[in-house]
Amino acid sequence: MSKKNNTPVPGKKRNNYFDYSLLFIIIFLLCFGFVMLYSTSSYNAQIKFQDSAWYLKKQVKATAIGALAMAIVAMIDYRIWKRFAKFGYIVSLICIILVVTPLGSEINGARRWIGVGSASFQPAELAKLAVILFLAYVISNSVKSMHKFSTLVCVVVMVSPAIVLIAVLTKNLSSAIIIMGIAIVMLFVASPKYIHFVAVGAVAAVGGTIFMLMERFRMNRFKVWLEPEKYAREGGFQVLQALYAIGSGGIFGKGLGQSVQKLGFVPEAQNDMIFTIICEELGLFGAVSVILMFLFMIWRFMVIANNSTDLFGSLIVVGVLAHISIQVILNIAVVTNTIPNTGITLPFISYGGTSVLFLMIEMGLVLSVSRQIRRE
Amino acid sequence: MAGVQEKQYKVQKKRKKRKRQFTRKMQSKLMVIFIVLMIVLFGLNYRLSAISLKSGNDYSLTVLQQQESTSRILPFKRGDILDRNGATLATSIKVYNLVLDPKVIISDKGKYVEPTLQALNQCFGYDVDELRELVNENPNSSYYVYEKKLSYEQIKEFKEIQNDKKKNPFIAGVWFEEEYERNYPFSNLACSVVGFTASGNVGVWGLESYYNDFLNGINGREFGFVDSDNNMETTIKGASDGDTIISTIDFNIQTIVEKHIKEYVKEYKPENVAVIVANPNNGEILAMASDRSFNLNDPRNLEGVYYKGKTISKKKANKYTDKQKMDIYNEIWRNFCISDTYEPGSTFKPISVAAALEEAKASEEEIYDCDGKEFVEDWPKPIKCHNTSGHGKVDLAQVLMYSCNDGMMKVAFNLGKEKFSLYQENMGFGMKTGIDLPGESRGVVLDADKMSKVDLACYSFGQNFNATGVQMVSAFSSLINGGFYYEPHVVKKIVNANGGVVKNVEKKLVKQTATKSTCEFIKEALRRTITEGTGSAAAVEGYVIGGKTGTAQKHDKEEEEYVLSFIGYAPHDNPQVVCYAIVDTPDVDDPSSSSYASKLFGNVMSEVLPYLNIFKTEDTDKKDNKKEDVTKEGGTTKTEGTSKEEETSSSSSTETSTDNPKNHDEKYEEPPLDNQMHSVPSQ
Repeated sequence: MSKKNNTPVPGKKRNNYFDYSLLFIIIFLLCFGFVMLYSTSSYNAQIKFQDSAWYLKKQVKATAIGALAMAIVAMIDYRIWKRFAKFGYIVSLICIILVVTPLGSEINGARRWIGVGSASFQPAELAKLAVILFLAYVISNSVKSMHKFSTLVCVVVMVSPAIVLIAVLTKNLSSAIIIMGIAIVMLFVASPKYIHFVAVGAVAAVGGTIFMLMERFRMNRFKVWLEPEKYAREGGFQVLQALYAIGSGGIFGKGLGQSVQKLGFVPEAQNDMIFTIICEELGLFGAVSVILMFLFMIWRFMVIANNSTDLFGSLIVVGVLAHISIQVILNIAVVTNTIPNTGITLPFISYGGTSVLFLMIEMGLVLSVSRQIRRE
Repeated sequence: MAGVQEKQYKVQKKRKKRKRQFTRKMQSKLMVIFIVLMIVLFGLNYRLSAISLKSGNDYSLTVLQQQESTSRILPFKRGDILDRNGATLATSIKVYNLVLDPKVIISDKGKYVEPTLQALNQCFGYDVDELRELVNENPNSSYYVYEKKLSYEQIKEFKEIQNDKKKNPFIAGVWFEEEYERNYPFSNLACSVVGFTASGNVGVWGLESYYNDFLNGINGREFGFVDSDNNMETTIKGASDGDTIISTIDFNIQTIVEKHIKEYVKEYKPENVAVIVANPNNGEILAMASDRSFNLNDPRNLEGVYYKGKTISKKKANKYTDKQKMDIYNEIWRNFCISDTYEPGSTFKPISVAAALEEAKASEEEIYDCDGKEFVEDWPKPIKCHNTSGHGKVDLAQVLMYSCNDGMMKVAFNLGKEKFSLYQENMGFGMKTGIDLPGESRGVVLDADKMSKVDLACYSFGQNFNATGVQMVSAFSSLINGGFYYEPHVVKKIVNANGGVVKNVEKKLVKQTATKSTCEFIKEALRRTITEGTGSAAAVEGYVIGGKTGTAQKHDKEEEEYVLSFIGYAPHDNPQVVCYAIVDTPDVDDPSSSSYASKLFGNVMSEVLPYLNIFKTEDTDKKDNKKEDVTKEGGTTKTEGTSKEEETSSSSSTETSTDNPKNHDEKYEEPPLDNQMHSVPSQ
């Protein structure tokens, strides 16, 4: 499919649909994120850098670049990316491999970055975007054979290099899980059958349960999850402090900026644990509001996917939907100690330049898809 | 939105044939995904609510507690203990613990390490390599106490360097934690009265223990919080310091007393020596000391401590087992004057006489015929007077003056054991005096219904029952002040840290023990005891004083051992001070001569009286004349030879006399009991 075929005929009524609801949620979440990020990080920033707005400034900078990127991507017809899908995927794989070369750099004991200084970024974030585009491209091309199990396996094999490389080279299990999740959701939506997924799901559930039963006393992650009090030194401390923060917030919270847990108790509160500070300062009310905002966002994604003019666009939106929702769910599940701890950030709100930049590009893609919806 | 969807639907229908379209099947599957996500998100909402509702209160509390633990405790200053004139007997000195914060020192790529370690080396002389190793080994530690109890002078230099940020910008991770250390400027002075503390603020003995609650204050706190501009703000709730205890002890008198005790120990090596000096008009103890002495600043160090006639060497001190050490501690920490009991001996006689006078069972004119011994029913042997040949006909005053046991027994028999017992109890024997010190003993006194006649006979001259020094002082004081028994006490006043009075200890009248006329008679007799009777060795040049000697044989020893004592007051007209000297078994040729206690009394009083601004009323020469007269008139002088004869003649009794013919010493008849405390003769 070329761009030419789908461009509106000149002189005809111009396409003027644009999903302002989604744009509003994005802007809202970003601004809310800034407020919460400042509230959460100012104490740590003051201590570490003698500048309470240090984290906020970096985040605003990354978001500004991201907003520019989002605007550009939203303007460009998304179908152009079909041509770059394969290429982008391969580039992202190379970037992941670059992490272990001298180009890579280590921050906080994790080797997940390439580039130098402020020009560095996490290839894993790029990989998520690349996988979404790549899968949208592959699936939309082979949609006829999607009913076959072998096609599903084939697609999974194609994305598995990204998953394996991220899990092994950068030791970033959570990103690997997210990419896996994105792939499964996209395949599930594209495939006309349920049975494959039910079967695979059942096998995975049984295997996972057996694995857990065997490993629960061996792996720190599980030990901490089951008994955070007992294994406070192995990471239970963080989980416990997160729970204390959530529990002490009450219904309406202590008020914006009033958290005490952010004063060094919840470690690196501005990253994975920012949701706990939201709970503490804004209470259950604030936490539920945030979750509902994400739910609203996901609903907008669904509407756009349903109304997209072509399968490629729909699948991009489905991929983004999967990405956002998996991250939100896993993040909140971790801070409530519902699942074992994995380092997953809360989209748009947690601190993280690379993350927000690529999220904004994904948003640009979705908005671009929405622009192609015809009102007529 | 629905409109758009409908339109879109139509569009989709129109383009049905287009293959790569998001089909309805896909839409429905996306809806499945959406529903699943919705359920999961609601599940998480439920989970959040559950945490908040189920453990919210607990967690809120935990959060608050964690906050508190980040605040800093500001230690209170334990109150001082002062003597009656304001001399400091115990105080608390602020000391500083040097705390290292290796985490901070090695932060910022180690730019703080060298300057900080160099500064520490410069100011404290610490080894830089050792410090570096320590810092590198504990990179995550933020609290490492490197040295304890530094004085302000010691840390001053480092603080100046540290605060000079312009010159030394890279000194970090060192701070000083404040603490108080208990300090006793006079080390051993009044050790058993003042007492000491454990771990700074827990009084374990003496005043430190008895008044622990007053002495201790309340810790303050420094809370840190972050204000709206993210500055670390601190609120300080200051510590409230403890109250200061002003003792009745007089530093100078205590020093005099301890000096004389020390000299006495050197000269006579007794088992125990103790002296109490008190004000008879209000029960205030001015000095209280024994030969047991230890350094309050280091109460557990046995090196150099005088124990059982020997000074413990360093070598020996290290060799003791824990149990041995405990035994020695118990011995040396004891306050002999209130904890140890003994038979007071003849110093008790004034009390027996007072009782008989009160009950009109004796009169001043009555004459007692002393034949040197007295047979008591149910007892095979006679109870002898110290003068076995007898004092002849003596009146009541002379019974006291010559310390005549025979006459005393007759007085007691007239009184009867019920009345005797009543008065003894009224004088505070057999019960605690209520002195404000820990560890007071009650003594051992039999009730009237358990007393035999022999007991009564011996009780009358202070044998067969046990009393403490402070009981004797209190009872004796009441006889010479007109019959008012005041509760003895060692604390005069308690003031708070700002000088406000918390408690003023007034004299506390417990009971009336005798009438004025009785007291006047006793006083006069006691005055004559010094001038004409057994107490001449206690005389203090230039003063008219009164007093009574005492010699008590210890029952629980095979050898003849004696507790010698002298209790007296001065000046005679208006008694201002009572002094009681107790000497247990001095290492002398004549261990039953009470002059060894009288001398100690005299020595102490001859220094104490001028100090108290009590003027000499007697011309010194005149007094000397008097004394000579006494010697001539006394008629109780005994030669050494006689006493030795007597001792050999009666194996079961003690007959002793002074080796100094100039002194009139009392002697008394000892009933042949093995241990009156446990087996009372009842035949």
